[in-house]
Amino acid sequence: MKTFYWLVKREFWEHRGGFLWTPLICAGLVVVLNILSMIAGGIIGGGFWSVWHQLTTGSPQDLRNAGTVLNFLAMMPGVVVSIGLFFVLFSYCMKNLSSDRSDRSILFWKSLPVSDLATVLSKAFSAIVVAPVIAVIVSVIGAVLMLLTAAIAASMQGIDFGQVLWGLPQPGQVVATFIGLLPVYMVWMLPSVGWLMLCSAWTRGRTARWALGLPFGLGAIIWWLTAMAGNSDIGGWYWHHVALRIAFSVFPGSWALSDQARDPSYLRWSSGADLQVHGMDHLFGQTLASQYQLLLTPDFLWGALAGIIMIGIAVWLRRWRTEL
Amino acid sequence: MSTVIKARGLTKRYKTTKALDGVDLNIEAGRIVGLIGPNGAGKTTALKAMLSLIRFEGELSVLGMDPRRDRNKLMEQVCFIADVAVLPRWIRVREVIDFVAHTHPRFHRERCEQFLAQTKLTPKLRVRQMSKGMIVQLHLALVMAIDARVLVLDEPTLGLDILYRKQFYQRLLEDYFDEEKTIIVTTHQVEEIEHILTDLIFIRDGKVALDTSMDTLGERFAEVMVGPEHSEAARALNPLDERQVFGKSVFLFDGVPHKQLEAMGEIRRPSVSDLFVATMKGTYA
Repeated sequence: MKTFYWLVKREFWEHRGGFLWTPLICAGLVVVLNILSMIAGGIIGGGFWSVWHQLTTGSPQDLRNAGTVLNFLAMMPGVVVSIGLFFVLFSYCMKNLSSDRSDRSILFWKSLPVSDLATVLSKAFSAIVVAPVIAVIVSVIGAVLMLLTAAIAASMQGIDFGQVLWGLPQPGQVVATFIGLLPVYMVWMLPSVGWLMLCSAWTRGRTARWALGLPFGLGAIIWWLTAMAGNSDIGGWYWHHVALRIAFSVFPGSWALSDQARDPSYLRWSSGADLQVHGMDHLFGQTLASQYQLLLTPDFLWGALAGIIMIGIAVWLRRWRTEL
Repeated sequence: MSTVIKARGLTKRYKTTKALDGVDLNIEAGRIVGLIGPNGAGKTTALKAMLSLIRFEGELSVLGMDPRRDRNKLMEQVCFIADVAVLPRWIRVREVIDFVAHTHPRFHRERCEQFLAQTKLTPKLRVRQMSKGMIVQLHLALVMAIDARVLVLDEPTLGLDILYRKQFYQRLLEDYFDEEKTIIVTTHQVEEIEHILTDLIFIRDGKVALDTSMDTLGERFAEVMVGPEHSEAARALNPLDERQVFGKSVFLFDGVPHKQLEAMGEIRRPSVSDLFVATMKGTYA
């Protein structure tokens, strides 16, 4: 256990830039841009500012609209952090079992009494848990800063500071969503982490060729063959469930494209009509619950199984592959 | 004395060649063994087999364990310096000490810090900021602070200047080596380690060409400087090698009784490098 902790720490040392600084910069950029736009808006007027004025009337509809705008603002750092996280994880998983082979530092790591299983699992853990948790923490801080900026800006317009922050129906909603979706994301990304790490353990340089070239090349062939046969269902299925899944499901929220997520009986994405009827409180709660139901759908279960198997193969490859 | 490494028919096949071809070895505890051979002879392959970094055929036991099966347990007792380039470039002195301290059960932090206190290395320094000599100082400090039974060195001083090279082996002898420990070292700079070796193994084309202790080396091999009057007689004794120095011939004999040679001239123990050159004649031809 102690060894595993230090292995994870080691990954963090090596990838501090990707795991910590990338989300910080992404969120920081959004917050700073927001502050600048608030200042500009204060000088020029218009834009979001009309919303604050509506708050003063205090009608429920106005409050809901203001809440939607605030939620949107609070989401923004998280959205940008998510995009950053995708690039960080994609390149991390593709390199974490090959870069130490290419600079031969694997000979140092392998001179220590640390098992290959623990080493590979610590790298998978860093991708699945460490980086996303840091990203969520940064996103939450970003969200709070966005709301604070908005509140301060509103108070400068003569609107009660407290009313903006606490008077709205759902101040902690965005925060709850980020944290709540974390487990769903962790399970969803397994096949991609597994595939990229498998390629990283397998290849002798130019990992991307295998990681992307193999599934996409195969996809093109299957597509062409099935199209010739006059039925492109299989090709479409392969692209959707295999090629794109193993390549890109480290993208946060990409499970929105899974079969069940697109099936309205499983999941209801907020629509204007729902907002009118239930308010966002109810809707968010419901959305989160139904996201958890997704965990038991075939897309998630088979994907997770495939991911775990591929990580297992990576462990086995790590045992004997010491040079690029 | 106990056997630390025992190999029987150790063979490593690559697609077209055999890097190791039925190697038999016996290495006892408390020895410093030089594994010497030309480039591509299979030295590193043999070390990698012992460290379980490659698969192989044949029988091999290190400290009574099969490296293929018990790697994790084995690596608690076996330390390894490949060459100076293998410490990860991003890591800091402080970080690498922390990491080894918490993952290696036989690492003694105070000892490592003592060794480092004698160098210019500072905790915040990164490997990428160090010279090759400093990197090897760091690696040596880490390894010497581990209470292991076997130390494997594969060209540990390659590319270092003579000050660092001398210091490296001096440190090993003074502060590390004892009768409990075994050191196996490969290097091309034979002259520099000749005086510290207790045993010598020559490898050529994946086979053991010579396996001797330094004590018996002096009895078995002899170098004699012979004047022209005796050179015919000397040639008749089937010397390994003959070379000309100042109009005299220097012959290298294998297994000829010293009594027989004394008449021809002064007998000296051949240097390892002369022996090596004589043994490896025609390797690259």
